Amino acid sequence: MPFRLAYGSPPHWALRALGALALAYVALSPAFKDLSPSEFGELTDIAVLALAALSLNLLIGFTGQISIGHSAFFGIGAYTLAILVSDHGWSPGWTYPVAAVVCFVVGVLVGIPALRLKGLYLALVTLALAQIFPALVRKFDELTGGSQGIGGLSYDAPGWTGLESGRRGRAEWMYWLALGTLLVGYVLVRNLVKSRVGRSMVAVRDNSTAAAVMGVHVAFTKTIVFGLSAALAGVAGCTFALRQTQTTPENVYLTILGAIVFLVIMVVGGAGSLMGPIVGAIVYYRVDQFSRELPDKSWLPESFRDFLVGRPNLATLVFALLLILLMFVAPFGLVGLAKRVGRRIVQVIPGAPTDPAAMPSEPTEVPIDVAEQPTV
Amino acid sequence: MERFLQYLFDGISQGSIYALLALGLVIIYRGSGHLNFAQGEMAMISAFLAWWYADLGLSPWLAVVVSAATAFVVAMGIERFVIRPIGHRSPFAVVVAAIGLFLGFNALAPFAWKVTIPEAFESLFPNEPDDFVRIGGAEWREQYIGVLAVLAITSVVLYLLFQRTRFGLAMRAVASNPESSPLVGIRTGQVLAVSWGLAAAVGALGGAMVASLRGNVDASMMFTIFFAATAAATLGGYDSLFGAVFGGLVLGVFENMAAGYQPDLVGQELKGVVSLLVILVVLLIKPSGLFGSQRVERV
Repeated sequence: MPFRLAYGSPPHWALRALGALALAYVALSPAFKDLSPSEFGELTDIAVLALAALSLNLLIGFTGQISIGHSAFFGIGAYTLAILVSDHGWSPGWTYPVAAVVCFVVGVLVGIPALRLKGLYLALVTLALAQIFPALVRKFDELTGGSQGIGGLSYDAPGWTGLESGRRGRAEWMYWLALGTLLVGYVLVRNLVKSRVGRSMVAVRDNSTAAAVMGVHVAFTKTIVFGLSAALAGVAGCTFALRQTQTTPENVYLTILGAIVFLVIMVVGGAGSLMGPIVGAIVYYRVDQFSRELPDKSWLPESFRDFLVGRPNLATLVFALLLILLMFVAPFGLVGLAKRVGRRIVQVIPGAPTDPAAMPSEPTEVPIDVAEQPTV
Repeated sequence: MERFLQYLFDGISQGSIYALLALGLVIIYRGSGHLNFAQGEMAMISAFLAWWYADLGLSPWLAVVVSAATAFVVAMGIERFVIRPIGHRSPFAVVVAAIGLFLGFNALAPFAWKVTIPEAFESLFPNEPDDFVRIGGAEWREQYIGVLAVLAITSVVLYLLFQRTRFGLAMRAVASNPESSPLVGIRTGQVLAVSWGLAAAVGALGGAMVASLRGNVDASMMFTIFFAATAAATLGGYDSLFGAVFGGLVLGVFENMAAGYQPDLVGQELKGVVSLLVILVVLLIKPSGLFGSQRVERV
């Protein structure tokens, strides 16, 4: 018998505060540790991946529109920053809003034909987008630098931050920038999802025809969400370009594999869950890192280490299998799994538990997967 | 005229490969309504298998046939143990699983064979500099004709299989009415598994053709081709085998003409844009494609 907490009761608030504190600790602790620039770099990468996956979650997890093309928006953001900084001498900070607007507009433009397309067809169009983006970059080489890309991007910490100048200060500033954009993205998505628009998004996802009947403006919702999602991905791309100090069409995150990585992070973390992309990004990055270091681990048997030498992509294989496995056991990803386990221990129920008959048997989360519906 | 013929021949050859991949997509889609995002990567891994078998000592063509057979068996297993159980959950789950397969196969090739650079693949057709046929001044290389021949043979075999055998009848029944076909004694599951097997085998042929034309195998060799194949299948209609072949050939020719006659605007780099435009235009004007059947949706 799990503990039952009434929604909004003091114990419930205490639990939430504890969760928020834990999160704040994880996010802010780098400020008090003496991390090296490369360690800050890793954290920056995680935050960038989390924001990219967050943008995808808004689109897929909450609105049910599949995109396999977010690497293109990521890339458009990166290139907007690179072009404005290197050709027009902008300060990188001011390019963020421009990149967001550019990506929003492109996202809406893609979203409009997508209105007539459902599910697989939309996936096809976005796949096409991911596929042609690097080709377009190479083609318009006067603007983008072609295959060479644009280099020499950096962002020194502004004076008001009090961070030291030089490599270490820059690395730390990158982290705060990435964390800040992630936080803004998170709050935006959270507020959006919990608003009227968010409810119409979920309605569109679960049954767009029924949503339209109930008065949801399906076309408007879909297009706006597509634009917002693209804008968030573009902002992630901006930080990515700064972190890499360059953008080239050869970069794997700007190709279709990047779009797939974002999707993997989102699904592994938990589609349709606010924390999912962040958890997914941490898990993805750390597992990937761990698997690269495996051949050097002395506690592994010699034969296994020999087997691994010269074999790339171990982590990718693991994640491919995990993705398929998750579809069997936990379609809501790790966060969904944790919630399911947590519910055995603590249940949060709406209102005070006075009348057992009036209580909902199981608090339902918004399911992306319509497992219980019979397929006709 | 010579230029036109040249672009036409090149386009038809390129289109034959799109058609082989698109055939695989259509075979799977007809049965279950799933779009196999891993089709291209399955073809890629089959090409690696063919390369590996040839390396072990099989003759090149035998290696291709054995790799197609391997692909057939493995894909049946994938349908039975991955796609079918997940398909009971939701279409989204199947898309994610297929993307998992995409990612997995893409990572598997370098992992299994320790290759990070393209490995040489022996051409399956005569490929000396003077191995071409001259038609109206344009050169048609024999290996390109060979690819077209493979497509023609595959299409005829598939036609006979679908139209002249009992199993083909069952496959068509499942495609046209999946709910009622079990009632007349058709084993739907078996039909779907074989569909995946067939699709993978046809894809394996496509992969081998790509490898033969490129002269090497590489983990990323099918990206653009798979993408063009989806455009071809969209053009032809996702449930029409004839449409897949037609769409593949038309797209190949169209792409080559666009790239050839507009070298500045399109050129080799932006061939993919042609596919994107084809997808968009077809989906916006006639979503069922040229030869596909309209699906009536009930709410």
